[in-house]
Amino acid sequence: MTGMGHAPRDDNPIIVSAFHHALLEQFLAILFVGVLIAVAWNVMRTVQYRRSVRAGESAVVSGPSAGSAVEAAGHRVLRVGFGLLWLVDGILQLQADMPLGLPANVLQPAGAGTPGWVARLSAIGVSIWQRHPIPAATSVVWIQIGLGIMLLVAPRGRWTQAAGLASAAWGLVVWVFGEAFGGLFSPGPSWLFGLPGAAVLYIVAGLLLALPERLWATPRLGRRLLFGSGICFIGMAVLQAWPGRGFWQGHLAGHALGPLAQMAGQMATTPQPTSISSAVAAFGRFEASQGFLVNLVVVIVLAGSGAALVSGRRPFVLGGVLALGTLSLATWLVVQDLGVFGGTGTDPNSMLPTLLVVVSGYLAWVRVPAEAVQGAEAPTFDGRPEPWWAVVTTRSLTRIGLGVLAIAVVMVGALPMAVTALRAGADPIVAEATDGTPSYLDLHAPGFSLVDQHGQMVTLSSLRGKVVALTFLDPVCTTDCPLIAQEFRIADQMLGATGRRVEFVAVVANPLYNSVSTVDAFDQEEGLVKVPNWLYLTGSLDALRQVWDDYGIQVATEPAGAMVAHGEVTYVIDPAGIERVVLDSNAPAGSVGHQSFTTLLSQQIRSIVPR
Amino acid sequence: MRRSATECHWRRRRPVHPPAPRTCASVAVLVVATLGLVGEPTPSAAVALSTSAPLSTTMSTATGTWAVLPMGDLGQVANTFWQLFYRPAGGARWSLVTPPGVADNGGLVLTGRGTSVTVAFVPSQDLRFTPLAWSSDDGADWSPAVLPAAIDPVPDALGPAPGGASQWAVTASGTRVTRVAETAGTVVTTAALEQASAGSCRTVRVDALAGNGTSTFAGATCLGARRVPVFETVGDGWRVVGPKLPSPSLVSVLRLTVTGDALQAVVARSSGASIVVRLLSSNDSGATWTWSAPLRLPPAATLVSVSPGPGARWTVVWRPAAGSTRLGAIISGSKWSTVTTVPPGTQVLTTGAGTKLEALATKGSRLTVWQLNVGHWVSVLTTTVPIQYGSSS
Repeated sequence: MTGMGHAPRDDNPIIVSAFHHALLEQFLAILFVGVLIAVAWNVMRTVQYRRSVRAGESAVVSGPSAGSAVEAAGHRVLRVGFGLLWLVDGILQLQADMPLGLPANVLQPAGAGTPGWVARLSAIGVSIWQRHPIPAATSVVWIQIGLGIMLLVAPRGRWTQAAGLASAAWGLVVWVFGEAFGGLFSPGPSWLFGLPGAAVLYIVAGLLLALPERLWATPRLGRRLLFGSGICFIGMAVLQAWPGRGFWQGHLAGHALGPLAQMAGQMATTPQPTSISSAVAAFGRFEASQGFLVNLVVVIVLAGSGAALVSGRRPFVLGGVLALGTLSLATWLVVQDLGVFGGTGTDPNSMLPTLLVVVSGYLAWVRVPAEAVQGAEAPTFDGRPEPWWAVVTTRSLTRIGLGVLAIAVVMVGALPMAVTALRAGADPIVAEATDGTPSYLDLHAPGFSLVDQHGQMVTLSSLRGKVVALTFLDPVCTTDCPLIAQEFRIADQMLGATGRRVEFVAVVANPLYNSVSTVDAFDQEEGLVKVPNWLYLTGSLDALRQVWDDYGIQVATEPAGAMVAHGEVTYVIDPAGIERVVLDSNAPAGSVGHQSFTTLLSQQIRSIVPR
Repeated sequence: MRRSATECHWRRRRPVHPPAPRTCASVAVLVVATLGLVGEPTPSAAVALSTSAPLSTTMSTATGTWAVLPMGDLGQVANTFWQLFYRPAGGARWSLVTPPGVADNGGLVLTGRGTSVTVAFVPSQDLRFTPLAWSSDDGADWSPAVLPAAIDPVPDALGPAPGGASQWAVTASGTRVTRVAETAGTVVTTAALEQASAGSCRTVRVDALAGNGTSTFAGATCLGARRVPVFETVGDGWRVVGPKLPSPSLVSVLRLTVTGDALQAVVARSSGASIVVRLLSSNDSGATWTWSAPLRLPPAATLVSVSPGPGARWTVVWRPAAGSTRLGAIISGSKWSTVTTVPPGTQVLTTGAGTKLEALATKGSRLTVWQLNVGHWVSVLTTTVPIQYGSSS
C-alpha cells in the first residue's frame, strides 16, 4: 500500500477541461463585446447616414479622409508581420498542454544555468504560472491575439503607436519572464539557437511602430535600423566564431556531438511531420561530420551581411539582406525546427522576426512613402469644424470598432490574470488535477472517543456546532504528515474569523508511536501548539483501529526501516455531524501543490460553515 | 460504515517553515554513544576533514552483538534504509531486528546497557524530532518512546546514564548533558559542558557518551584542542580528563567505551590533509593514558565505520578518496594491522565465532557476511532485506 507523490501530467484532463472551459467563457465575453461594438457601429452609421441626408449630402463619407497618407512600406511590413506573428503566437497558446506544460517545458529550461538574478526573475514567472495555470494560460492567448488584431487593424496614427507600445510592453514581459532574456545569460548562447531571443525583436518592432509617423517618411530611419542590425550581426558572427565554444567541431572530445549537431539531433526526435524531421536529422548528421564547414558558412554570412548592412551601399545592403534571408530561413528549418515543433511550441522562434525587422529597415530606406493624399480641405460647416459624421469614413469607423474589440480581447486576458497574480496561494485546480475533485457526501460521521494532545477526552459529538476538518496523521512520518499539518494550519489562517467556527482534527495513524507525548512532540515541532482550534487525537490501539476502520483508513506497519503506510484523506464534517466532503490529502509534490490543497480545503470548509 | 481509503502517498515537500538551522544541523548530526559512539558529519570545519565517524557500527551487550548498516540505494537519502542486525552471543547467524514504525533514512544510533538496547532514529526529511525505540528482548519487540519536551528534540548524543538505573544521558547543542528516565521520559538532571571545555578547546559537539557505575564520560569534537576532549561528570559539572596534545588541533573522539575503570577512545586528529586515528586507553578512569601507534588515513579518505569488539579489539573501515575499494584495520593492543583487502561493500568489520574476523557487506537489499579464513574471505551468510524502495520519497 505504498503511495507515491505525483505531479499531474501536462495533458491532465481536469486541467485541460478547465482551460477549454475558461477559454470558451472568455470567448463568449469577447463575442458579447463584439456584438455591442457591431451594434454601436451600426447605430453610428445610421446616424451618420441620416445626418448626411438631412444636410443634403448624397452619401456618407466613404473615401480616405482628409490628410490621410499611404502607409510606409517598411512600417506596413513590420506592422502586418508582427501582427500575424502575435496571432500565431496566441493560437499556439491554445495548445491543451500549455497550463501545466509551459513552466516545465519552456520557462524553467529558459532560466536554467542563468545567473542568480536572472533565475530569480524567471522563477517569478514560473511561480505565478504554476500557482494560477488556467488564468495564466488563457491570459496569454487573449493578450497575444488581441495584440495581433490591434496591429493588423491600425495602420496609422495613435492607434498604431498604442499598439506598438503595447506590443513592446508585452514583448518585454515575455523576454524577461518567459525567455530569461533570450539566452543572453545562458551558457553557450548562439544566434542559431535564438539569441537574443524572439521577444526582444517584438520589443524592437513595437518601439519602431510607436515612433511618430514623420520618422517613417524619410529614409533615415531605415538606414539607422539597417546599421544597427548590421552591428548586431557582426557581433553574432564574432560570438559564433569565438574559439572554444564548440561550434567549430561537429564532434567534441570523447565522441560527444557538438552543440549544433546535438541540438539538431534533439529537434529531429520531437513530434513533427516526417519531411521536417528528415531534413533536421540530415542536417544534424551533416553538421556532425562537417562542423567546421557549417560554422564557417554561418560566420561568413553573418559577418558579411552585417558589414553589408553597415556599409550603406544599396547593392551591398540588398545582397546582405538576401544572404541573411537565406541563412535565416535555412536555420529556421533545420536548426529551430520552424520554432513550433521542437517541444512545446510557443512562437515561430527568432528567424522570422529577424527577417521582418531587416526587411522592414530595407524598405523604410529604399521606399519612402508617397505624398499624403490630397483630399478635400478639412471640411467646414458654417465656418465651424465639420461634425464627426461628416468626416469619419466607413473604413475608419470599422477600424475603430476593431481596435476597440482588440483592446477588449487584451483586457479579457490581462485583467483576470492581473487580479489573480496578486492573490496569495495557488488555485485549487492544481490539487484537483492530481487527486480528483472533492467527493460530496451526505453521511453521518462515525463517532469516536479519543484523547487530545493535552490528555483530555474528545468525542465527535463534543464538537457539534462546529465544522470539523478531520484527517489522519502519523506523528513520526518523515514526509507527508508534517506537510498536511502545515496545510491545516495555513487553511486556518486563510479562514480568518471563520476559523473560529472550525475545528481542525487529526487522528494518529501509527499503531506504535501513538502516545500523547509523541503527539505533543509532533505539535511542538510543527508549531501547532499555538493553534487554538487544533486537536491531535490518540487513544488505545483498539480505539484507534476502530476509528481507522470507521473512516476507511488503512494503516500498515512496513518492515526494514520504512515508515508506516496509511491512507491520506480529509473529511469535512458539518456542525450537525454530517460528512459533507472528502478530499484526498495527497497534494501534488512541491509548494504549489501544497498551496493549492490548502486553498481547496479552506474553500470547502468555508462553503460548509453556516452563514 | 466502511469505505475504501485512498492509497497512502508519501512524496511531498514541506511548503512552509523551512527547518530551523539548528534542526538542519542536528538532522545530519545525531551521534550516539554508548559503550561508544558514532557520528554523522556536520556542516562544520570538522566535517570538511572527515574526522567524524559514520553511523555504521557494531555494539556488544550481555546477550550478543548488534550491527547498524545502511542498505538500499546509498546514493539517495530517501532510498537509503538503515538496518539493525543482531547476533546472539555464541551464535553464528545475524537476524534483522530493525525497529518498526519510523522511516530510518536518516540513520540509526544505538546505545545499550545490560540486556537493554535503545535505538534513536536520526530525523530525516520533514521529521524534526528524534523518536526512540527500546528493547529488552534482543530486538524481538520494541517499545516506542520520545524524549521529553524540555530537551532538544534532536540531541547530539545519547548514552546510558551512570548508576545502572534506567536512564539515558542526552546532550543538546553540544553543551548540556541531561539524564532522562527511560520509561517515564522525564528529565532527572542536567550538567553543563561548556565551562569544562573553556581553555582547552572550542567544543563543536558532543559525539560520544558512555557511563560506568559512577560517572558519565563524554567525547567531543573540538577545534583548537590542547587536550583530547574526553570529559567526566563531576557533581553538576564536567572536567576534562583527556591527555594533553603536543599542539592545538582539530580532534574528534569518534567512539568511547567504559568498562569499570577502563576507558577506551578512538580519536581522530587532523594532520595536514590527512587524518590520523589512534586508540587511547586508560585503566584508571582517565588519570593516565596510553596512546596507540597512529593509523594514518590517506588524504580525503572517508571513514565507513569504527567498531569496538571483544578483548578491546577495535576495527576501522575507510574508503580512500578514489575508487570504491574499502580498506580496514584492526587494533588490539597498541599497533594497527591493516586488512589490505576487504570484500566489496563492507560496512563494518567485527569479530565472529571463534574470534574470526567477519565483514558485513551490503549491496542494495542484500547483506553478505564474510569470514576471514586463513587469509581468504569466505561468504558464510547471504540474506535479503525487504526494503520498501520509494516509500520515503
